[in-house]
Amino acid sequence: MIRVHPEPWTTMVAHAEATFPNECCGAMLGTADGDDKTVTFALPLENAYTGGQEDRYEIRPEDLLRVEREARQRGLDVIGIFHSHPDCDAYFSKTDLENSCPWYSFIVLSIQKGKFHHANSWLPNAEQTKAEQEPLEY
Amino acid sequence: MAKILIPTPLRQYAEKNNSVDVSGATVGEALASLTTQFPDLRKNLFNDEGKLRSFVNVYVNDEDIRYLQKDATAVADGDTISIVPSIAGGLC
Amino acid sequence: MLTQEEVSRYSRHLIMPEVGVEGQEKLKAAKVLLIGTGGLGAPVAMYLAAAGVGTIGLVDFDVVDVSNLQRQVIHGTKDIGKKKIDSAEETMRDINPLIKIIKHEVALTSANALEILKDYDIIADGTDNFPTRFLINDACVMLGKPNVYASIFRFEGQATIFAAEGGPCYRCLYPEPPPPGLVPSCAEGGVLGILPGVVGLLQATEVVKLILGAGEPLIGRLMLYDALAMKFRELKLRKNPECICATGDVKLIDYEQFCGIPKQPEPPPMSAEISPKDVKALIDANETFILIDVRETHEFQIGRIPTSTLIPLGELPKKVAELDPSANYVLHCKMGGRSAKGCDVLRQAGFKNVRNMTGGILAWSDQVDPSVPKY
Repeated sequence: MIRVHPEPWTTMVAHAEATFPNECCGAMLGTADGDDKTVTFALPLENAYTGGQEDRYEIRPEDLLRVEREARQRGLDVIGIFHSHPDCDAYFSKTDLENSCPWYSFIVLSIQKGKFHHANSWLPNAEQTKAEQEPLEY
Repeated sequence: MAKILIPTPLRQYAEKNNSVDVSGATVGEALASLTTQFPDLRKNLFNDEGKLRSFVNVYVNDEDIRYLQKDATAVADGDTISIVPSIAGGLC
Repeated sequence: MLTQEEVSRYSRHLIMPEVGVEGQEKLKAAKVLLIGTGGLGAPVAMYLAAAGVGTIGLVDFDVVDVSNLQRQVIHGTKDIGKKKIDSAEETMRDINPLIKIIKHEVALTSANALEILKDYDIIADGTDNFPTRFLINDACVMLGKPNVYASIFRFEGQATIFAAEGGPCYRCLYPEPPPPGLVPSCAEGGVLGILPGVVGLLQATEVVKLILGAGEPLIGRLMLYDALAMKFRELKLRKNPECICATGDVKLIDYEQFCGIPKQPEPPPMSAEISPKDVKALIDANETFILIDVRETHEFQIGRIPTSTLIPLGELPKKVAELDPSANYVLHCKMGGRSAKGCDVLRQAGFKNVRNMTGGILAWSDQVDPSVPKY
């Protein structure tokens, strides 16, 4: 189960809508008690993919390093990564799976015609062969 | 002694430590020291051939070891080693 | 530390590695003082507010005039007659309610400059006159604070950073002020309304870069902008080893005098006064002086001092020309307030010997002649 507080959720949706029709990405910080995760802070990151960003995103490791630092400063943990699917459902694609890492929750926001539509959270398995849906509350 | 910062999701394999002090003169030795202390971390960081998994990046202080001497990058006392995944994705 | 609200607001900054959370936190922690909220100050204040500079101080004592609006875009038509500092604050708050704005509604002087500047990290000079520029420069040199400087005239502008560590100061460029009257002000020479926008934003850019520690700051380089030619040129500025910023021989002085601007005439000493008894003594001694009653006609009819001449206060300015400036005057009214104003009118017209009778005709009635009715 992953819960996202209203303030970070607003930031995530605003970032996803603002970058439409491109994909956006960002990090989610919060606390985890086993599988019970709470996101209290969201940080938009630059989509560093150099090709067409309407269907791809990439996060620079340096940016993630800065996120780790930010989390430590706030006494929070990096809980997951969010990104958007413009005009497409919030499923976890093959590209998502192969380029993810099995350590985090991945929230996908479906943005339809520039407006938030729905979202899902995904947990890739250790081998990155499939992803399981995780209950999401926002 | 250098310090390795452990990303949140991996702390469960490192007795909940958020950082671990390691010995070793190079990044390779430091990581070996880490996985000797916490064997469960090994499969999260390395593939079957013993190479770092494709999405795992290692930084010494602010520098990516890929642009230094990779595994052989020297580690000094007081250095901070970070493990950072690379993440990408997209539609289809 | 940034709040979630700030993260949303500044996300276009945060996603750039050159700024990032760390840089935005630096902006939030920064304290920048803008001197002047006119042509240059307007864009600087608006963009620094938008960028999230955490504390912005404003120094101005002017009010918004219709002729300002051609370039001072922080003020609007509805603000005419309002204090510039209030109008600027309102616009900045609308742009960004998350920052702190400190208002200094004063003219910057040698007496208050250090006290005002000391709490800020960076000073941005958006003033339009030489005395204040030298004052800001010298205060920045003394306090070791960078002075992000710009100036504009007609179609041309200049920008640089003075008094940064190791860099030159304004006096390295201009050791002495130009003779008064040689360099016309914008009011006299005119200015393209857009020009302060371009040049002010060069200033704002340098302020932000200094805060972030990013890029190549405009230190030791004077950027010249020519709007008609649409050309930027750059001049190297060197630190003058004999300049006060190098020798350390710097103190705040009288900058008006330094710039050859004549002193405002000394304000007259607070009205010299005379008591009713002393006025009576003057009359008894046949001293030559003119006693003017500045009350209204109907008051004069109730009761008067025999030797007095009636000139109601409202008529006094018109009558000044008929009076002899070298004569001795005593003014009175009912209680002393109106006649004090009357004394000021005469003194401003150059009259030297003017006194106010304390307590007015009521006191005269009490102390000298009870037959004069009180009312």
